[in-house]
Amino acid sequence: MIVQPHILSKALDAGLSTGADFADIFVEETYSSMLSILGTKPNEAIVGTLYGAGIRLFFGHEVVYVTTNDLSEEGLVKAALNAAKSRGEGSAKKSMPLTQVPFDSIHTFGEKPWEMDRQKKFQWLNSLDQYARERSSLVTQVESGLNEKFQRVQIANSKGVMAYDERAYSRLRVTTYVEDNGTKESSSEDAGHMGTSEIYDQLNLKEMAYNTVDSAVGLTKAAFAPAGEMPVVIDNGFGGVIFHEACGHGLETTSVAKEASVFCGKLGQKIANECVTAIDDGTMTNGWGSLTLDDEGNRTKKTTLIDKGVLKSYIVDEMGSRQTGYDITGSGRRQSYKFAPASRMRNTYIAAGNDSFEDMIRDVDNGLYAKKMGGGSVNPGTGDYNFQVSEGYIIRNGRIEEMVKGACLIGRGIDTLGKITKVSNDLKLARGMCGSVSGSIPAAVGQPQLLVSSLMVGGRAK
Amino acid sequence: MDTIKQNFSEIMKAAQQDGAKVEMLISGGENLSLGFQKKKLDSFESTQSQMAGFRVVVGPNQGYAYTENLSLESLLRTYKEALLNAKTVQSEHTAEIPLVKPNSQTSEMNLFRPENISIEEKMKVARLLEEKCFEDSRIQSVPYSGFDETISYRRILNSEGLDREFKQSYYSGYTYPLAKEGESSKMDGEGFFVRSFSEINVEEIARKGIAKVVSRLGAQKLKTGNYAVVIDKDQFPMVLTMISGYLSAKSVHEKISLLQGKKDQKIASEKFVLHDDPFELRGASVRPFDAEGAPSQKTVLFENGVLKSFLTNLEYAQKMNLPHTSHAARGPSSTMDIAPTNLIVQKGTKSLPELLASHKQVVHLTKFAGGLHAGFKESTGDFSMPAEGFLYENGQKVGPVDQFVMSGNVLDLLMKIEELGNEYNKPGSSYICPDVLVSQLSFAGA
Repeated sequence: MIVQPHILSKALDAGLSTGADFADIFVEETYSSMLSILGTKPNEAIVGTLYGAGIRLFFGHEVVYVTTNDLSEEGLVKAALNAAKSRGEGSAKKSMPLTQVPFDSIHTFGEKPWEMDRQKKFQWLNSLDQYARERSSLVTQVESGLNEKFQRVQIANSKGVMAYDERAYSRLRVTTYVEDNGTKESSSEDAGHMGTSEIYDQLNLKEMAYNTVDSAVGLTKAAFAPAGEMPVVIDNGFGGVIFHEACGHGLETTSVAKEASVFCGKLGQKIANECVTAIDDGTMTNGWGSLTLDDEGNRTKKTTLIDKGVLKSYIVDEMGSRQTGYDITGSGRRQSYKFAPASRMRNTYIAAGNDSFEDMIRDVDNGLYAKKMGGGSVNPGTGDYNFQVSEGYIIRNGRIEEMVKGACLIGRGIDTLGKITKVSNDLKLARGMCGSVSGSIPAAVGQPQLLVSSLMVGGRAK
Repeated sequence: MDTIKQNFSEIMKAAQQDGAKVEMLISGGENLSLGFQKKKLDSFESTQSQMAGFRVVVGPNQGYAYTENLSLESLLRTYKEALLNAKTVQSEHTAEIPLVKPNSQTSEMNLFRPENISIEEKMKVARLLEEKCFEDSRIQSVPYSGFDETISYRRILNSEGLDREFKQSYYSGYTYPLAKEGESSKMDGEGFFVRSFSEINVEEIARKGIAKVVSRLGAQKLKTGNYAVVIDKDQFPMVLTMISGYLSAKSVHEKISLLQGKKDQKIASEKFVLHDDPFELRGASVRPFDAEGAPSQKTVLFENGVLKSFLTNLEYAQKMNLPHTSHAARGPSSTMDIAPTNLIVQKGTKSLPELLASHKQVVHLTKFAGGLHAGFKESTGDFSMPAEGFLYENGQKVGPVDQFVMSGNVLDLLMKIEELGNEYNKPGSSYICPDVLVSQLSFAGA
């Protein structure tokens, strides 16, 4: 409990005092820590605390949002009154008596970031640094870092919901820089979960560091990817960023309600090949994008977005539900109290199919195997997307051949969905940070290996 | 003495006892954000923020901590966390990290000009940013439009007795209409950044936003090949963003910058001249002092293609024996970095039509479709950026083109700059650029 219930009730009533028909308060206290090693030495250490509240009022479809760092009764009531007075002229309403939602987190946490021995954390970072340097004499620099966050939130709304939740996040990363005959390259790997850092005791740090070196050294010898349209096999795990960017954002009611999505009005229609089933699941235990309760106090759900090619559901938050009439999916999320929540993805993936990876490769005469994906972006209004292939290979006559660099995949989400012709049985998920209207949040992406029959590959013209 | 100064004097006493030096950076502000959807007010956000960030120096090491609770008890606790962090890190150097002394003078900057503008007038701007777009029948919706009023402040105090404060106010806004004609749909828009409410011209913003988006309807795929390209003055900032990290002395020292060992070498076209100017009022990154309190100054970065200097803060000027350029950059919740303010590319003499007629075929690149993370690799300088634009043949527009990727290496691009346009982009960006003609780059399309 961060703020006493009677104070939250008073603030909610203040919010409803000029005619708003809904009010909620999101109170947050978040501890963050970042440690890093560069050039074999502990290089940076920073810790800090966010502490504040966001108060949101609905006047029909109109949203008023205010924030404050003053969590006293006076501070919260004043902020709520300011919000109410900014828009309202109607008659006052009363909030429902608050009933505590039981705190029964589906996640388990170990030692909190401030409790764990810092030397232990530096040992993981040192190990990554040393393993990378021992792998190749071409290594010129190694940067390893550990980011941890522990968030406590309290959410209350005028419908009588009062909820408390704890979320822990930990992410370990390493970037290795190499140089071979004047050619510079780099490669990164990361590990982590929604949880605390003890998992790294069991992690194969050597393999993680070696992977960055092998990938970076390989890239120094790689030619640029060819340009043009070709079949592309996208690897499992972070390859799921294609669905996240190409379709996921267009299924959020944040876009759908504004008619800024190519998926508007397509519920129940076939939008992908039958081999495609896509899910957005907030309930995976200790999953990177999971929550017990979303940032509006609603329990998260496992939502089937596309079932055998047919669009089944959008990703819906409170306001999205109001605007579109669809049921809430427990997807209201935000970076912090500084942002009003919006409908956002959680752990989003294409479900496993029946094809084998080997058959997929065998089917391609001349194409690209996108093994490791980089960042991407999408224009939800048109569905145009792009994303980087940070490690790719040429497929020639049904075999994976030489490594190539500099490839970028571009296309239009709804077209690409129709071109997924094979889906393997080997599903993996990976971590990402997703940026949108309510800030940057942890979101997992995932898929089995996929064959897209034709995609535009941006490489270099000959 | 104000509360902040009183509290900081208590922290200084603690630091003295700990044998440490301390710097406190406070930043905060107020923001009002208004957005309309379908002619109705869609969002009304009023946010206030304040945060204090400590940098504690113990000999050659420094640690950081931050808090949003500015009570003395919280500040003292946060200072202790920063002290612990300073004792955790190990610098490879032995010299003590210096803090800025108060004896230097900063320039006067009067950019805090609160105006008595009614909420109704602000609402009207937000409403018109959406509404005006519907004057063109091809506009289907305006998914993103909004108006912002911002007040921000920054104050830096340190153990050397420095106490500097800077406050500014400004208005900004944007409108991004979605246009549709036949099977073709496009979304694009225009924004503004002004210091006075009277400078806002909603009609012009909407007109430009509409013109941008409808001109790209019916775009065709570009044929794969090598083309001369004019990177539009509104898009060349993306190229400057690619190189800005390399200019930091810190990234040179950390062996991450591609410009390591290239100072005083000619690494760009003769016509490329680049300055950093924190006093240029056309730019968004105006400030009288940097993030450690050092007085701002202008810096010549490229002259006739020759790299003349790196950007430094006090620490890296000392470590690398370079001139101190006052480019410390950080917020309360981040560690010390070095970054440019307003980067200004010197104008050329040619008009845009002249640039577009300079080769038989020219791509006029008017939009990078994704951010840097979608196609730029900083460690190599290689980029594969999805983009859109127009194809010109013999100076005549053939039509809009899209779904292509422009590839190359950013240092190679700087060498291939052939000409620069004679007009700057609109005010309000931290990158002040003309149109730039690059002799040849690779385009992957159909």
